Amino acid sequence: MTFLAAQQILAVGWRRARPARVSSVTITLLIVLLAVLIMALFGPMIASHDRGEVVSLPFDAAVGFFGSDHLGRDVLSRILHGGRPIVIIPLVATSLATLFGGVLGVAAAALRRDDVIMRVMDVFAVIPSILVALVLFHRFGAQHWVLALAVVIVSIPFTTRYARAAAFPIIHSAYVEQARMIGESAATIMVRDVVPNLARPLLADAGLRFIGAIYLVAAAGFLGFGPPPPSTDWGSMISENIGGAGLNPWATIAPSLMVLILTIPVNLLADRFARQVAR
Amino acid sequence: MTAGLHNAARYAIWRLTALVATLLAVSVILFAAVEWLPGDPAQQILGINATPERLDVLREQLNLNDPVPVRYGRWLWSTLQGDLGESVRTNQSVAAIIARPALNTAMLALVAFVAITVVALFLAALGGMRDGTKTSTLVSVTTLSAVSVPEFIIAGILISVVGLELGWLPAVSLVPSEGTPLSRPEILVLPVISLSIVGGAYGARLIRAAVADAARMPHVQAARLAGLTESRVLIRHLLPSAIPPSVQVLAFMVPFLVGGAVVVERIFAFPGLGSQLVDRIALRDAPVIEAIGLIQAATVIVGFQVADVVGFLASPERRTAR
Amino acid sequence: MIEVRSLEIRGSHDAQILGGVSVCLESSRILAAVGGSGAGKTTLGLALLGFVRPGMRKVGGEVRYGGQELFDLSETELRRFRRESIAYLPQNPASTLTPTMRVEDLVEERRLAKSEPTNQLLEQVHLPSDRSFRRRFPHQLSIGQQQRVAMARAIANQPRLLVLDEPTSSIDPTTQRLMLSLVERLRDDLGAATLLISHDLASVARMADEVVVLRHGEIVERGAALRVLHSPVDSYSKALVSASPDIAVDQPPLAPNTDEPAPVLRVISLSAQFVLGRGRGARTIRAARDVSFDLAPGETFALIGRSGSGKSTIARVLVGLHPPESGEVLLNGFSLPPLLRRRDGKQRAAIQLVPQNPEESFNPRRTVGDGILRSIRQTRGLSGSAATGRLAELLEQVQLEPALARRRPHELSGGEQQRAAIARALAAEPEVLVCDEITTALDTIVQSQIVDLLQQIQRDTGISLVFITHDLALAHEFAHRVGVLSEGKLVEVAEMADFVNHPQASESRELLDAASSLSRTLAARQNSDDDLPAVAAS
Repeated sequence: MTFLAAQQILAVGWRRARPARVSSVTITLLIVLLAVLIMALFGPMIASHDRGEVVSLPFDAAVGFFGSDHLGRDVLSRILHGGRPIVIIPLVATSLATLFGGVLGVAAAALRRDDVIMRVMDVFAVIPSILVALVLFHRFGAQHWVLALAVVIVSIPFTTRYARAAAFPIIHSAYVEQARMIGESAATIMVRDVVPNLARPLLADAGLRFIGAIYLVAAAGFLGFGPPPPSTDWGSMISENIGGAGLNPWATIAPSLMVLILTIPVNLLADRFARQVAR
Repeated sequence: MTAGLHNAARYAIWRLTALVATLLAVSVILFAAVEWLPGDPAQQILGINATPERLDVLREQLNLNDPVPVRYGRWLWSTLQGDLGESVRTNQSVAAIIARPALNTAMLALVAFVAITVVALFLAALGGMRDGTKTSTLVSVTTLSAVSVPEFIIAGILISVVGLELGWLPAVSLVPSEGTPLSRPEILVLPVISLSIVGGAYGARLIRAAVADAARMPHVQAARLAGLTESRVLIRHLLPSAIPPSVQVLAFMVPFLVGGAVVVERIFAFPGLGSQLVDRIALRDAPVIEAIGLIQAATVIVGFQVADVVGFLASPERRTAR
Repeated sequence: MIEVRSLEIRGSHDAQILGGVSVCLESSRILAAVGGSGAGKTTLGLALLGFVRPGMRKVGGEVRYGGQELFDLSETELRRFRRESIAYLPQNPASTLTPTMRVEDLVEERRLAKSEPTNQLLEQVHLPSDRSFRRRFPHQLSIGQQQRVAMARAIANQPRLLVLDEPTSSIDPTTQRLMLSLVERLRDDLGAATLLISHDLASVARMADEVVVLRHGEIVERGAALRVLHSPVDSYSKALVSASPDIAVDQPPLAPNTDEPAPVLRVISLSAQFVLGRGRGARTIRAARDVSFDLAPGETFALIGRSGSGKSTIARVLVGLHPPESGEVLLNGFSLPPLLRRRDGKQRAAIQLVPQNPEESFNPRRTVGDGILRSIRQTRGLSGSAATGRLAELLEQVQLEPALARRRPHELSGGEQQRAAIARALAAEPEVLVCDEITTALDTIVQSQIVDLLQQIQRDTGISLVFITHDLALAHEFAHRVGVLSEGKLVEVAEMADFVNHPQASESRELLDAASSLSRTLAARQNSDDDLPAVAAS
């Protein structure tokens, strides 16, 4: 190999990693998930009725696509309106919880005396999450950001524990030592070595956390701590209409299905991703 | 083996210390959180028309004018002596208020825990130790889908189909005023199913993963190559490595049940601690909230501690000194 | 007794693991399978147990024991065969012990009605047989004792077939000798047939009757052990034999290629310890006690010691990754700060480490070339085309194809990874290269290539090497001087030639006796009679 040829080969972008093979199942799941996300985000724009508009008598199965709800409002329109909170709140909350947990976990893994952080997390982990959520709701009212805050607070003990476990072998790896040996700064090592290797396990964990967040948001709606009427989310819709299941079952079934179409692909994708990471 | 005993004693002391310390820390946070709830209890009890004088008197009676740390200390002291105080709403003792709901929830949770364990072990065993077989794929997809279904959706479906449409089982789980849930066991069926589908599926996945990890260990493979019977490989070589993580998984079902019970109790109008907690927070009934919170946290802590003890007993390396 | 006929095994993506291998194990004979890593030796050994590892599958051929095809047996029959007729000892025997079982149960469960009692089995492997020992768990034993328990467990069923997979690689000399004598006993008493898988040709020469040389899943040469090892025919076998380090082969006298008297590195009464494990089970190990040595420019100093004796800690102290307890390291006469963060850029660059496991020392999400470039930029301050130009030079220097530098670490072979790690160390243009067990994970041929490469680099650049290893035979091929570490103490420092001929310390003599020597073993066996197959001339 001559010197020139070598340089030519090297000149062609060589940080390029090989593209990962993606299976058709994964693509299908991504498409479904994307469709739900788009529907949740843009639903309010295509809904034929306003979320508070009364179109018929309560639980009239004959009106519209899914009939009407306990106040005679169009179920389809309310489903189109009710997607945003249940998608956006868990998304934002999970991202924040992963971010904070990641920072705390990395700190715990890097510090010699990591006991303090982890003991505090142990305490928070045993406090019932519903209690935390309820106290916050009563303190600040059942607003979207409160819901998100509740999810973040109850998730952080777990994201921190996970991040610490994932970060420990990276921070004490031979390649981080190697970078230290050539005098790289802590910031550079963090950006080039720790974060890229930590990102995938953290993302896999975030996928599973996302489900938990959807649960909590939907459960809050179900317990009557959803956003004030007429705004709605799929969880609240289930609880509102469950009494009329005999008259218009779609008023309950449709929002239930929407929750499942959201959670099942997320779970399947997170599982696939987590397994790839573990490999 | 005095060394072993010595180790066990040290371990027990360490565990108990951890338990007490965690509970203490939890109690501080609980007390602070309840303090932090909005509104003045005296005002709430007397209503908005109360005169300032009467409010002052009541505040004095309830010791609300003392600084928070003092009140925490007093509360902790009486709690340690077994006195949970009185409801600020009804003057009933907290113990009397929560005794029945606690019993009801304990029964629901216990039955659900057993159901979860059975479902999880059954599905984990059905999935088998090897990936890639048809059954294992089916179990994997089924359990993954099942963990995606929040318990209140399952509850909703069960209520509308089994409860209302078919009328096979009560859609509402009212406990008879004289008696326990066990005197009408049929009311437990739907709540337990709602709780154990998600928990069982989740547990099955994690337990199966724990068993698969153990099956890959070199000593398990060596035992197979040594021609030992499959049952011996399983019982003597594989399970001892798989049990501690599996028990850990089951311990994680405790907080899941504590949280899930709140929602499920609400749906089925089951008079348990969860329903009680939701109501009392709305009423800002501090002593009751604190008592329920402590009970729930203690249950979770004990669950984790039991898992740790099992891990300790299952590991000769931890049990015996070097 | 057991016959393998044109066995074909494939792995993922249909890659050939074994391509039509035929061997025959006969009663009272020892067959050795030798070859580099990836030759399919272990796969062949496991096939004798009727086992194919997950991810692989048998696509053709047969394995017959007593006329019966093993892969046709039912689960029960196969289990019975493994239980009653065969014993398998893998590379790391201690890992076969289930941590939750006591010594006596571990041995007992492999016994058959005809077997000797557990007590006697333990005594045969030179272990105590009293009750308190039998009641111990594996973690309460030393690593050597664990290996012996694994052996007792293996022979407890009085096997007629024995598969030993790299038995000598993780075992100290005493245990090795014990294992050889056990194999002999099984052969003499029961007429057991043995398959010995090894890359250590000297131990093969000592024991084997017959040898097959495997390469990429195919047999390239077979024949009587002495013939194959003495005068191989196939070119690969020849390479294998000539690459085998041999303590008894005299090396041309080496002299450092500079005559500057001042040492580049001085280590003065260095002491260091490290903590093994975490929490309550933690133990402190003294890795270095009052260690002193000098390193001249252009010199190679070999630091020899048993595996697990904490030699790596000394390497880590030199590069500043581990704080010493006491002592001093002087670079060109100036004292080096003990900790990395107190050393300046020049000091850091001057001493570079080539680690034991090169793969783990590269960021798995980046290419190895990127890792080398990073060192170039950081230590030499080059950037842009100057940096890539320097990279190309380095790759040429370590004879690594530039295309390989664009791969990620796990996509390279062990030898390629090690070359990349050397290139990265050279990027800093160091005066001293600390090589920590860098050849341990490599097979013999690659090992000798790496050693040749290091010598070449030393000739070209005048760099000094600290070569830390447990392999005296290998070190003796190119080190100028040697230091013997025993329990953290440097018990002898000498010129290599003097050391080989006149060792002073008793540890040194032990090391020399245990050092691998193909020629010596071959000579010993040729001298002895054929019907008295000798074991262990040492």
